[in-house]
Amino acid sequence: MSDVPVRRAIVTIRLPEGLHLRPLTQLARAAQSYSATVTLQKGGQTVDAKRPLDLMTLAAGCGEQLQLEAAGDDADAAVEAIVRLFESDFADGSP
Amino acid sequence: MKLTDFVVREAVVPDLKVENKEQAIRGLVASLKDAGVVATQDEDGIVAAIMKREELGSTGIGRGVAVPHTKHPNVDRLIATVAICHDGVDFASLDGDAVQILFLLVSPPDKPGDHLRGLENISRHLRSETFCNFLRQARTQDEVWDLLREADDGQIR
Repeated sequence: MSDVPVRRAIVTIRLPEGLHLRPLTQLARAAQSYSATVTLQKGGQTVDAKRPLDLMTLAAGCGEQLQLEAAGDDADAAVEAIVRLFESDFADGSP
Repeated sequence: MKLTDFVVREAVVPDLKVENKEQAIRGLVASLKDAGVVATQDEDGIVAAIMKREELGSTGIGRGVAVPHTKHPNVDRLIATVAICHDGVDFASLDGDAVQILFLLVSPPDKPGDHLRGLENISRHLRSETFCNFLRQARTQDEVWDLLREADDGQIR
């Protein structure tokens, strides 16, 4: 049995233009700042949230829901930070 | 949607020679104008809009790839061009690496879904190291076009 902490959340894209390049870059940067592996799943497709090229392949539009999962010692913090990004509609202005 | 549906063949730049990001963007928009899919009077506005977008965060997404883009009301469908910059150009990319492969997209403001699907299509192929390596080796418009077509047909993985 693995004792790696795993945290999951459902996030909804409320951006009118969907998860376009700027927010997904913010998302990748946020995910990269944690040691936990971070993935997003849409339908049957799971991608590495630390890689913009992978996130781009989701083509996730407004109103779509994604399953967020982080696994690792800082999984809690990673999920919390990324959920906050979605809830704020990526309003923190970076990058 | 396929790459060859929205990449404009005549606008492909197989050997982009530039010293900086602005020259690269200018070169690509000029190629769209020369191909007849962007009006002369819109050229400067599109370049300015793309540069403004770059100020919000580089579209250099790493692995030597950049996808500069903007919306413009005078295009009625998603259009794009591809450039290969063999010497590489500094794009202030996420990973700091110089960019050799550029996909520049212009989309109508009222079709955000097309823009997302265009990005999805490009990124799906660019995740393939093989596709990227072949693109970096391409030297002519026909070679680039053949690679796009082969990628569309699932011949490159």
